[in-house]
Amino acid sequence: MKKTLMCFFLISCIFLNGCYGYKDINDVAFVTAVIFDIDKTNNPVIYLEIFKPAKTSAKSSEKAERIVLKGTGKTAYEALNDVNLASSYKIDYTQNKAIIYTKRAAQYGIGSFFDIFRRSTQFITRPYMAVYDGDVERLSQGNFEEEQFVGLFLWDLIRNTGASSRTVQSSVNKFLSLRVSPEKTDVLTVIKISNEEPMPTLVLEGGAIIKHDKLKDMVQKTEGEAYNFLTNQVRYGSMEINDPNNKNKFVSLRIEKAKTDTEVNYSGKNIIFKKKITVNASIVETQNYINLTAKELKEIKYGAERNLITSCTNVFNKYKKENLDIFMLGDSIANKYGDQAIKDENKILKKTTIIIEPNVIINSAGKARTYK
Amino acid sequence: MNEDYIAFVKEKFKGNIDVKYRQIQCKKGNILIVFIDNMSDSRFISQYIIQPIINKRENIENSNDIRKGILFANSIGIIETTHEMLYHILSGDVVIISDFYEGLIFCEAKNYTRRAVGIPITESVVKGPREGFTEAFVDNISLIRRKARNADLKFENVFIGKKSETVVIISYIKGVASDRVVAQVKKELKNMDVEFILDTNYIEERLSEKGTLYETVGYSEKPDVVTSKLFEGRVAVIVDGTPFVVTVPYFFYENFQMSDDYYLNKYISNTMRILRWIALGLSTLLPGLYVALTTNHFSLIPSIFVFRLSISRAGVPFPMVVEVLLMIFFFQVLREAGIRLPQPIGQAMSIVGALILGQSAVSAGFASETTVIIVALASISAFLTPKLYGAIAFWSTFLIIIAAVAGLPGFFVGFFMFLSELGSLKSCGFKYLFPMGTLKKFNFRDLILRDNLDSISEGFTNEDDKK
Repeated sequence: MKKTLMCFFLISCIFLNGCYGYKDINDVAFVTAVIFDIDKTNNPVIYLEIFKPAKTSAKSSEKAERIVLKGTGKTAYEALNDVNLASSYKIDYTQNKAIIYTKRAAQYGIGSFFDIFRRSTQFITRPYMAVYDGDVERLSQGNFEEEQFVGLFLWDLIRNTGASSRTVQSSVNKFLSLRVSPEKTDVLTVIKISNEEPMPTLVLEGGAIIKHDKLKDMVQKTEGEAYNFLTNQVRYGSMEINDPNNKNKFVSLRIEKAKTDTEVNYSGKNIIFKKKITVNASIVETQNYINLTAKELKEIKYGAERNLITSCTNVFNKYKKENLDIFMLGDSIANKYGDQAIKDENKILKKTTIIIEPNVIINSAGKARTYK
Repeated sequence: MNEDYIAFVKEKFKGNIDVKYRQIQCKKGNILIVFIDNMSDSRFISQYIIQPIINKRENIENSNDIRKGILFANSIGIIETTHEMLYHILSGDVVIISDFYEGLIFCEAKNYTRRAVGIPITESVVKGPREGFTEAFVDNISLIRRKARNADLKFENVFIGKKSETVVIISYIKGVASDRVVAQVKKELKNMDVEFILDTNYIEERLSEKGTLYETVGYSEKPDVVTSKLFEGRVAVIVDGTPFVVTVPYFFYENFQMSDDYYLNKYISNTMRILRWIALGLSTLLPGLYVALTTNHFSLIPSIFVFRLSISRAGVPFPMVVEVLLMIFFFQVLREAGIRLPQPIGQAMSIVGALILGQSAVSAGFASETTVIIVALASISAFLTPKLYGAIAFWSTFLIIIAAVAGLPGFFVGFFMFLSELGSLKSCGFKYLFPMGTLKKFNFRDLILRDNLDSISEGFTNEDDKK
């Protein structure tokens, strides 16, 4: 009896739980990026950037192909199925790195083309989300100098943002949670093809504010750092401060560690939104000779703190004016005071005053540990 | 009366060229000396048995005269039955029969061809004793006795095999070994109903758990290993004619212990032991996990590796699961060939064969490089725990198939089945996984890592049944 039960249990485990999705890895075409555009009738046009292993008869038959397939339809699913008609391999989305909406599609509203990524089990929530500002045909051609796959290039570009605190990032996972948060706003990465580089290449360019699944405004590259400080997304980066001895010259600080603590207080009438920004930085460059005495260091510290206050307050006030809560303020209030504390979410920003409390700690320059 | 014995022995050994009869004429009658050529020492028989009898043949009245005053041999006894007579002759002893007095005498004069004590091939060590058991049980007893000068070390003999009458020795240290295990081993050996016995495996099959590929009975070719196990409370069984000595009970963790572990630096030994545990994981689980991930769960593999895998498999015509099983089959064939060939050729063939086979399989489109690496890694890892080879081969194949059918859920179910089997096994009444899963007095200081030697030399049976 015991053995029968055990066998029954094991067989149930296997047959009720198994995947039964056997696919040989070489019989699959891997999507690395999905690009959404809309046509004149506002129907989705999908470009899939695909990695496909190539079969050759040569002895060293290791070859891969980059192919781009285009599909159209009334819905995103129909458009994706339309792509399948042109693919000899089963299309697999597990290696998808980016979901890119054209600016036009984002302005129209991505809600109509996003649900499939939430519902269908063939998609994963790992890919980055981005808005592309430019010619979609050029983007779909890929083959940039550094990397031929747009998806992989974008993945690496965004993961490298640690080196720069000015770019913003968002993934499907993050977007899924923010689109149902009280503020219903997220900021997606903006990409464009830069012709300023020696060879045209893909670059990150600020952020696209998506509210209620529609593109509302763009966060400029210059505002990116302040936005990242306010949303606790800065890990590394740089700050440029006026030289305390010569106002025309600058001192560069490298951010080694940064952390932003948020405190929100709602008195029933007004909201105080306090951001305590702690930055560990070191001096990496001075344009003019500077004798770094305690006085100079103090002035650099104050200069950096002043810059933080100014830039963060400006950015906050700008979007406060536009009533775009990109700072997850609604979320903070809901977490502390409950969903019903402020019923009209449009009034949250209007009632809010921001207080920035920076604390820049300047480590002595030239410490051996900073060498790499 | 003795004439009957003479007639019996001549009738029984009729047609045997190796049985020798030497007749000596005495004053009162004849004395017949019977022995088997090449199993007895001819010089000893001539000098210490025949010569003294001839010198004093005028004074021999009865068997006592021969036993007490004539023979120079150190071991002499009286034979009472024809069965005993045959047994002594066949064992290489000399039997003395006379037609003028009653009673039969035997003298020990064994001297058969035996192998010298050599270095065991199956258990080579970097440091430590190198001597190994031989096929002669007397040598094996002396090898153990030399390492354990202990009066409580017992060697009890039984004869097994209705036709072969092979000597089987049960060895244990009284007061250290579990009485229950000693009694169980004796009972099992007594109940053995076989015509002949040539190797310890006849006994292993009797004592081990049925229906499993795990070895639940230990064996070793090294006296130091067997002696240490005796001191830990195990029972050893020596069979005449084989250099392998069986020890029971045998636990799972012993598969990861090598005799070097106790002779080398503790930290090096422990590193090696950890390697062996990892190797078990690699050899059993890696092929199954590889199949599960590369056929059902691409999202769990880093993208670059997925692309690499898909490119390297682009020209392979078989499904992944067939490819892996095919490569495992190739490696098994190579392994078997390497074992069967003479050692120097075998080793070279294994290495060259594996290299050529792997490279050619990739070039011919039979397999991808990654599969060759995975299968090679799993196969080589299995060599680190040689006694688990059968179980590893079965479970890794089972996991490959179940992972291909049901992906990772299937793999995990298979893995739990693997653990369940391990947990259900017993060795002579002890849990095979002992001391894992118990909080009793046994110390864990020699389980995965070994502690200082002075703190681990304790018996494992210091529990209930040693009272």
